Amino acid sequence: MRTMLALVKKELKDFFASPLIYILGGLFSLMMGWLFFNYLVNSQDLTQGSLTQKILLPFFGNTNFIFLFLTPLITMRTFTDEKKQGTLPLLIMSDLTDLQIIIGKVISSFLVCLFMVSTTLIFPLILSFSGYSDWGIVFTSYLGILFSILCYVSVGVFCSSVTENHIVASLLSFSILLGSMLLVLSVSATNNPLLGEMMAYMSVPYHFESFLRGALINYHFIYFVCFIGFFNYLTYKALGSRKWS
Amino acid sequence: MSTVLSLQNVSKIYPATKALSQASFNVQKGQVHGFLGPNGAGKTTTFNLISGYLKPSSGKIEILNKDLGQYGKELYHHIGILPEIPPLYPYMVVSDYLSFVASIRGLDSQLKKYRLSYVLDRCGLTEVSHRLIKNLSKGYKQRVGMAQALIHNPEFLILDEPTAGLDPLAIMEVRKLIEELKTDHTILFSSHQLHEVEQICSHITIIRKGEIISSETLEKTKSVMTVGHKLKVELSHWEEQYLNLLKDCLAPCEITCEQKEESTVLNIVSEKDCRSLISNFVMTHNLGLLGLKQDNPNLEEVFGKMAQGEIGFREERV
Repeated sequence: MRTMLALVKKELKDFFASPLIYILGGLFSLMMGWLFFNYLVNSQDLTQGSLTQKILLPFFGNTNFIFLFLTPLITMRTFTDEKKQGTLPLLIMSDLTDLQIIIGKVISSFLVCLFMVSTTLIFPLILSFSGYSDWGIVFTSYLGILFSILCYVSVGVFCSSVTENHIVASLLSFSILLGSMLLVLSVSATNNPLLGEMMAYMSVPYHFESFLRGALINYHFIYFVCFIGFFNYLTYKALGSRKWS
Repeated sequence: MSTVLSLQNVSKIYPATKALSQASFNVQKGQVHGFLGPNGAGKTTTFNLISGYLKPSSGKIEILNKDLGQYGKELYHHIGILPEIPPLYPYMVVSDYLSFVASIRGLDSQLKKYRLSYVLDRCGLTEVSHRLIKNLSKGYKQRVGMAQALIHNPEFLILDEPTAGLDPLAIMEVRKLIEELKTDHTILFSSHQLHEVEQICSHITIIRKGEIISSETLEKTKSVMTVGHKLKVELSHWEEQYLNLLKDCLAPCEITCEQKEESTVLNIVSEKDCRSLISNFVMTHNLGLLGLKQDNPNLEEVFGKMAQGEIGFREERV
């Protein structure tokens, strides 16, 4: 555990020593601020619907969507850099197990995303000054965002483990994530309701939407846990592939 | 003497490539063991197998008489490795980097502090301990790489071409460091600087196209090239009439004469050491001895011949 914490600490130091994270963070804050402002201004024209429906739900939906693009950029370096610098054997020969290395990398990338998400906390706070008090929805929406980000990070770390190239890693993870998102749109293309339901179930946004509605249903949690576990398992296999005969 | 490393018929097969074939050799405690081979011979693959980064396709690797496949993580505490490209994080400060390596090697904070100051001092890094690794010279980066290999005080050190790409001064510094380390550690060391290997190593293993072709002491390795005793004798007074007399005196032997401006050089190859006989012969006939030199092959010649497949222990034995 101590060794894994040392890895997480080192990874976080690496992230925050790089200008990339500040550029992404700045862009993200700018976009979120602009979106919030837009929703806020437009909400005055709408006579029906609560602040949650008019501002927060589209705002959180967009936050989740933006992270689909940001996470591959955050995670692309996790293993590619180790391979390029020749430092992967250093980690493997240490007291860290392969699984601890993966968990350490996922946690550190997730914490960086969490740092970026934390900048959006100011927007519900602003709404609270005008009497907004539906904190349950805010809580479940953030929970949904965090689960979604953890899924994106797991995909990103996996893609980083199969290549030595940053761009390939980010494009690959972006393709997988976008593909998962497009599954929802493909549902309307099929006449088979069962197939449609299955395809919808496979996509991350389908489960995220439930959190936006404030519904914490166990099978959504099971989906997220399975999704995260599956991609971390793939990363574990990719890392262990060096030992394949 | 106990065995620190033992490779028993180890093979590593990649798709369409046999990187290592039935490799067997031992490294004994206290040795500085040179591992030589041309580029692409399988040296780095062997090191990756020994370090546990790769798994052999067949065969067994034992470190301190324990199977590496079975006791992997436990044995890593006894191995320190400096790969050809040192495993460094360029945007880390030297002391932070070494502290991180110590942490993931499982050292507790007190021991970490002690080992950190020890390796900084031993590898001559104290002055640059607060500098970013990316700003260091190649020689210093190599030292940092050496320090990370030493941080957990391993019994067995693997150094893969530690002087590659360094300037002569840095090479001397790294060589001096290895000389110092050999008192406390068993070292397996690869280099293309053969004179350096000759100076540092007591035992040599030579690999060619994934096959170990020789694993002997330095002297034995060099002796493969020696067919009889070779001598160069330089004389100031020499006449052809002495040639047959000398041949009779040293028989069986081969003598060739080389005429120089003011002297004659005799190249003598004989089955036995005949230096005292030559000395007596020269004195008796008053030939004016200017020089007598044993013409031993150096490691460079031996390696060149072995790498090209002209000679080899293993083939001779078959």
